[in-house]
Amino acid sequence: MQLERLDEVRWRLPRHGAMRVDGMIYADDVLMTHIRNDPCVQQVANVATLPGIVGHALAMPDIHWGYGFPIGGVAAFDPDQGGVVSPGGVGYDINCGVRLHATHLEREHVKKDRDRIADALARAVPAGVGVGKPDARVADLDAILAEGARGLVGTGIVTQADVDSIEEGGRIPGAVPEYVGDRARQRGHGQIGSLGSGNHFLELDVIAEVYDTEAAARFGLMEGGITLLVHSGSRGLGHQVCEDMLGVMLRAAAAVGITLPDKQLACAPLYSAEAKRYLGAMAAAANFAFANRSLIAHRALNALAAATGRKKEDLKARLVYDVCHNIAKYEEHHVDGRPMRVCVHRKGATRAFGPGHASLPANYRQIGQPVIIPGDMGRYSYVLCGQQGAMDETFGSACHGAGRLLARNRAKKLASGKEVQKRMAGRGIALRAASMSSVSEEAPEAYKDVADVVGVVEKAGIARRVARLEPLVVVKG
Amino acid sequence: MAEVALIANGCSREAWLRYGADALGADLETTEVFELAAGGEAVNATPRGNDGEARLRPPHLDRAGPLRAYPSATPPAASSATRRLGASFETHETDHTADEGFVVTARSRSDLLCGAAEALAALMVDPPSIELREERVCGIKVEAAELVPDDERLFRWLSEVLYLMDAHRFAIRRVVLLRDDEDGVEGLACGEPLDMDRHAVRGAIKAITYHGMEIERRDDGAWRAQVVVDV
Repeated sequence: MQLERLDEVRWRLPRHGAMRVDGMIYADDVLMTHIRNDPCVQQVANVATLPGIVGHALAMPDIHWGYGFPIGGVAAFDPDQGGVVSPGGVGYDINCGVRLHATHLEREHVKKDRDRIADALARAVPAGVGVGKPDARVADLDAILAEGARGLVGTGIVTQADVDSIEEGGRIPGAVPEYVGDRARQRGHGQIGSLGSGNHFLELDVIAEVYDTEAAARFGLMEGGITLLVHSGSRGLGHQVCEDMLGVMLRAAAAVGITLPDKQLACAPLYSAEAKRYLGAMAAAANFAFANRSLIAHRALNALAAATGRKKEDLKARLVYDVCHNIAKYEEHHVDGRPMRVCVHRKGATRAFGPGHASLPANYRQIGQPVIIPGDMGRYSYVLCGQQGAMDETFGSACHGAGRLLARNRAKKLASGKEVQKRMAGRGIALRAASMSSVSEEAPEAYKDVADVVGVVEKAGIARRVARLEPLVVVKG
Repeated sequence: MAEVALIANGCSREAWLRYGADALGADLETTEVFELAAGGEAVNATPRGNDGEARLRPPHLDRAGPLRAYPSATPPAASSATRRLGASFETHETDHTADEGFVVTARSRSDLLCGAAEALAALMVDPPSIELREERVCGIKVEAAELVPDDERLFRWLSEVLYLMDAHRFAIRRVVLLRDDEDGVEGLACGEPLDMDRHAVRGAIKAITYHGMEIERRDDGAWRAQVVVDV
């Protein structure tokens, strides 16, 4: 497929065939060598065929082959131009996302005891296939579906200050718990407070480098400090919500004559009953994910305090931010210079609102939204802040991670889980995992270098680097 | 002596016998399975190197032939009444950058559904680590068969199998179909409750996707399907 280079980091995929708008891929030369011949470029073109799409079908520099939408894809739809919502534009793991806590611990507090701390974290947070550990404070599933993390304020798990540092205040509006079916409830309820498997993880990182002292200070990040990073989503509940809706959306698309280049792009016009149903259920699943990450972090911080011989208050843990990677939401953006309420789909992309945005908490408003970009488990992750470029070009969105380079089966052939664990130990990282098989799939070499990805969004003016984090303790699903 | 009664008409005789042989404890990796003519002697099976006996009686078959399983090191005595059972389906895993998938080929649609379910289960837990202790019934209902194309049938069936694994933490090693008709698909999944200490768990599967899903009946009558799952 012909890509037209616009500048160092922008590539246009000109409109052709059934595409309604151009595609736009953010990448440098290095990343483009991976992207160019990947099926993900065709997926960008496929997204551009959906009704009511506005602006561009966007691809972040960590784009890779997904199902339906590419992973790293962003697209916005105008309900007044027949715009649609597509569960494939959100993915199965509704509101999979990341959450970062800063603590007053420093490198030395964790480094020498990292193995013991890793064991404590792995014990405290269920990971891998299946259920979690029940907690009586999160027993009211309907309240969680309706209220998200906000529903846990006052339980000791979430504070009012935490809620201000979660996307949408920890509660996506418009959730309709009744739209979440019995199977989804059954599949997900027991899993709350657990990581899951695949690429989900929790990490203790040390802040290795600060690029912007002022922004870092606002975010509570200081060089040498220890942070807790959590990556998880809505577990089986979200997966089931997506699955339950796919057949409904396929029929809805057929009923209004939408031609789908890939069935996984099943969708319905935003004003339809099917779309309202999906958005209501999706918001409820997203709220479940906010509560899930909150409980995981709560458990991990308790374990961290105990393992370092401290009271939890003495960690002075502070939620830096919690963001969604997989979501569809109504947001106000400018399209062709005029304000418009559009349904933004982020499939493996992070909201990255720039400075001054009204939805940001007061202490971050001048800086821009914290954007947390995990890398592979062996190298480093980044904290960025959203820039005006994101508001101008990408519906306030940035990349979400390093992006896979190798298929899981290929990664597994490179090294066994045990070998990967040993190599990590050699680099000073204590790794624990529910499944050693998933460790080999998640080996650092299976991922692109997240520094390249972050470099592109910075050059494009979408987000700016604030700090770099390096892992000391990693717990995988 | 264990007796396994099979009452069904879903997938092929071969798939049933393979299921039965496995249920009897014959290690299919190291054992060749032979079928004896109707009226043959009691069935012997060798459960993983230990001597053992069991009886397989698939009553739905017109010739209710018992089954004999031998360790492959011991060739059976040549007899006009014995024939080697061929696999009724084949599966192999495929590469997808972020996700996983598999391709299944089979002699019939029912065997295809069977093989796809086993391939799916194998992505979650390595089958040899699972013991065949329990059977669970698992199925989908189809309201209007003419409106449900084969890919949707496959999608819904696999989603159901996944639900059994994920929501009920059931590790599946073997699957056979009891029915595959205009009313739906129903099968038996054989395995045991998931045990993280004993089972070789590969990872959770989030969902079956429609992305890249293909299902076709080829000119030679064989069926082929391709499935990508979200992990």
